[in-house]
Amino acid sequence: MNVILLGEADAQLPLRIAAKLEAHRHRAIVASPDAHLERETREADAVVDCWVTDAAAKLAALGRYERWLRRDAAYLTCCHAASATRMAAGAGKAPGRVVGFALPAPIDDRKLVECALPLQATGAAKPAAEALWRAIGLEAVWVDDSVGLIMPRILAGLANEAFFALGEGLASARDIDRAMQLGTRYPRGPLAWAEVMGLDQVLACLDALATEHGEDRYRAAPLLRRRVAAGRTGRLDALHPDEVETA
Amino acid sequence: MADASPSPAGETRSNEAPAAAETCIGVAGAGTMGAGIAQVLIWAGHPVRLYDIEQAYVARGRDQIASFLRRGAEKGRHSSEAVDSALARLTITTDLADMAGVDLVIEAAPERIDIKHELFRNLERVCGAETILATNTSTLSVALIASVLERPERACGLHFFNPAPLMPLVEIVRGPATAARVIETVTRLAQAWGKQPVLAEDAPGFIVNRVARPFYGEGLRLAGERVADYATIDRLARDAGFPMGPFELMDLIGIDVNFAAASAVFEGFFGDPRFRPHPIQRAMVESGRLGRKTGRGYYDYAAGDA
Repeated sequence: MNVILLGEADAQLPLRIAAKLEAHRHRAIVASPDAHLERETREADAVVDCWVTDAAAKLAALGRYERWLRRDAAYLTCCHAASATRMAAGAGKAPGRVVGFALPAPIDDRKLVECALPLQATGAAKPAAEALWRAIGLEAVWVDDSVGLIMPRILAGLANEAFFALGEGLASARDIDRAMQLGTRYPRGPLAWAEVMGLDQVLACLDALATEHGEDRYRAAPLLRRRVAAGRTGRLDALHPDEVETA
Repeated sequence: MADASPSPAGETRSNEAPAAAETCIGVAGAGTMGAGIAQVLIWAGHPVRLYDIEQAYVARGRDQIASFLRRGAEKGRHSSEAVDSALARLTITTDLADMAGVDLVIEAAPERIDIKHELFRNLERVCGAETILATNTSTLSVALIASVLERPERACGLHFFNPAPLMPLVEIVRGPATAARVIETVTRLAQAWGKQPVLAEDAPGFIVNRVARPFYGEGLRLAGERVADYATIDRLARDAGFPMGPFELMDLIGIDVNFAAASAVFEGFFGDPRFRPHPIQRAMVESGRLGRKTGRGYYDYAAGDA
């Protein structure tokens, strides 16, 4: 299987998926959305857009790669901060081959991947999408299309509330995360989890939910927004380094 | 607690923690939480006075503790001698005057402010000036509960999680008037009980009951918007590492209990839409589908589902 993965320069998701594909003897190319990969794209079975934070960049990439894709190839688009339907609307030739997915970090222990068909979909790309995920050991679970699908939306909500609490001085970052792990048996604290996902990606999900739903419910915590503005988006910049794992 | 320590008998314990036997603690309210808290305390070596308004309530509280500890002995988790010496540290009473001379009182009465206010007024009258008065409230503010005290600096929150003997977390809540000495003392005590205390300010839901809200709230909205059904959402949450998904967890907690917690935090934040409960929750409560305890909630347990 030949797969092209698109993503932000330092994003973990395309690298992780590429590593898993290569471990299963498939061919994966990780590229930035503005790379010129016409020949490779014509040979690809799927393009996977892992770009999260910038919907305009996603649409631009879709417009360019989609016209080179074979008719039976799939274009998978990450739905963490945009619905598959919105992306498919930007696919001129064949919106039916667009399939949405969500796979929030960390992905190494995952057995499931959330998938969604856009409203314009024909379902023709469903087998190609399922084959791709099966190739890296993931079972596709089909849900309805929406911004953030299931787990990115739930995790962004938890992280946002933890950042509100931290910003208001309710408790220390360490105590907030310990309380959630000990009191509700969450696998990791919501602040540490946000750092693994990338604070910029959590913020992008919240902002997209706020736009999509038009609701104050999804307004981002001011501290979360400031940390992203300051470039302190997690990964290498832990709030409390002793409890943060690398993605 | 109740770990595989080779000698959990009372005499060994008192050597390890000499202060425990000398620190007498009162628990006001002998329901599930009050009795669970009293169990933690006697097991840690404290003499404990367990109070409630009726003899039947305190007797039932003592029975809950005794059967919990005896089950542990039957399973070989600890010796029956350790159980006997722990139970010997427990005194039950219906006379609040018996709280005279205790160093700390943990209030675990029903979540009604009139009951808690009367209790705190009377406790201040009965107890010494240095006695710390802690509340196990999860929905009321420490500020409000302590407002009837002449010395509100002695009050704090000490929020255990159910079941108290098994859950390691204790939220210590600092009210606007709480003295630093009070926080230091209860933090040290909670650590000695084998708990992992966290410190929270006095805001609605404290940490856990507030920060956990989106887990249920977004789950409900996703189901309400028909993005996925309950079972799919739960399955994806488990795959992400949560021990249970939001719907099976609400069924376990009790949909009415979870709805009440959601509503309390929503009201506490003056209707902030982040905390708005979902109509599905109310519909479930109104139809008597409260979760496992009624055999039906988001899942049907009578049919062997889920």
